[in-house]
Amino acid sequence: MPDAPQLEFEPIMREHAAFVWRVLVRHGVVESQLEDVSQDVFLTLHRSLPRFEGRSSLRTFIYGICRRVASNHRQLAVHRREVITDALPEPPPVGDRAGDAFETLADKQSLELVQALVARLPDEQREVFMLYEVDELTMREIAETQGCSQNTLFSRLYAARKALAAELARLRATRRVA
Amino acid sequence: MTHEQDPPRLLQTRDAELSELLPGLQRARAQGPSDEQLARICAGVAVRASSAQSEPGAQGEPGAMNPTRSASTARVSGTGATKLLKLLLAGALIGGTAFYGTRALNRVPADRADRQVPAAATAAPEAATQAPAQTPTASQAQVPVPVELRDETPRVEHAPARRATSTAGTGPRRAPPAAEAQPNDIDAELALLKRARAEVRPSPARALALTAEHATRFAHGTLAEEREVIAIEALLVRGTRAAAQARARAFFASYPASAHGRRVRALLDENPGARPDSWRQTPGEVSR
Repeated sequence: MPDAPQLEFEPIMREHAAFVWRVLVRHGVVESQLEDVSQDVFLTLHRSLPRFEGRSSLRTFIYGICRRVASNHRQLAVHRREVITDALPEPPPVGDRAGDAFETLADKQSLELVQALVARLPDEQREVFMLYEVDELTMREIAETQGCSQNTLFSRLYAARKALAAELARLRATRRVA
Repeated sequence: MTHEQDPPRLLQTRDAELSELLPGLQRARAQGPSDEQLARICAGVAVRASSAQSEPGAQGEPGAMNPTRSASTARVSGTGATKLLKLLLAGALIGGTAFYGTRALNRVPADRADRQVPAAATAAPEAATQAPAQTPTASQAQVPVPVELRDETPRVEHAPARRATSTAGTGPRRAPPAAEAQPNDIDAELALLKRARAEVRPSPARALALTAEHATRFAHGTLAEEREVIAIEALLVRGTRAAAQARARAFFASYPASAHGRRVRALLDENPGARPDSWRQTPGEVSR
């Protein structure tokens, strides 16, 4: 491993733990498994760091590991016949949940509203939206993770925002005006 | 980085059309493991990394348990590395293959229970002691009271009084969970157990003293299982096999699903009490 970057590992874990956590949640890892699967991610990262060439950002490198580990985790769960999760999270029944959340908009509901509405987006829009708006990856980083051009990502992001705005407008109309 | 080309994020523009989403997005950004969970993740990774040489895809010689080597394969350096090394050493504390993860998983509900139980646990016995006194009085209230039993009516007043003291009693008992291991405590725990581990061979008695100190200082510590494994090994090294077995039994009773179970069994198997090399490796030891 010539010129492998000298990296400190523990600060890396601390810096990226929340990102890993969120990505795992979005990729169907249930809450009770998050700690374990996060460990798997960082253990894999720990082993792979010598091979990390710095061509992509560390975040996209970690994101790739998250996706693989989460996917393995789902498969293992199926093999063990443990009902950990079926697959990717089921989109919640949007009508009621989003509506209720919209009504109260208390702290917790605010997150539920995002989750409920975002769950309705097509997969590729949802992931771009979350990676950009929540995880604050750059478009270039997202392009690396999704394997597509930044132009494609822009249109997905705007499509997602538009769909969410439409959804909110609909909720406003039905809930507030009525 | 093509940062400049990126459109502003919603939380910057605060787009009115999407205004209701903004608090949720803010909250979503804050999602992540708690400090406690993060500490466990870091410790768990360190423990597993230290025994990772035997796992597929790992580097270094199989069976090599040198944490420094494991750290160096990961190109760890700097101040963070010293912290990681600490953690890795903690991983090497128990040796063998440690799947801290499964343990952490088991621990999560336990910790949560820990936090909530004290109130409930202390209330429950009180409730239990109240129940016998209360049920009769409650029924007395409805049933026409025979004259002889009227003497007991004062008890009705005692019951609420007792309840009042019992709820007051839960107050102070709630304190310990608040003083429960802080994320930083794991450093102190690690340091202590590292010392204990280092003493296992040269001086199992000192190792046992240090594990006892750990048990006192960190009664609800994160590394209680590791402490027990060290203590069991120290007892074996000292040649007190019966004590080791007793402690191992207690270990399996307390942590039936422990990932270190295999390690404990292996220790007991490997140390039939008269294993010569275990004695040869303890030149300074004068126990027994």
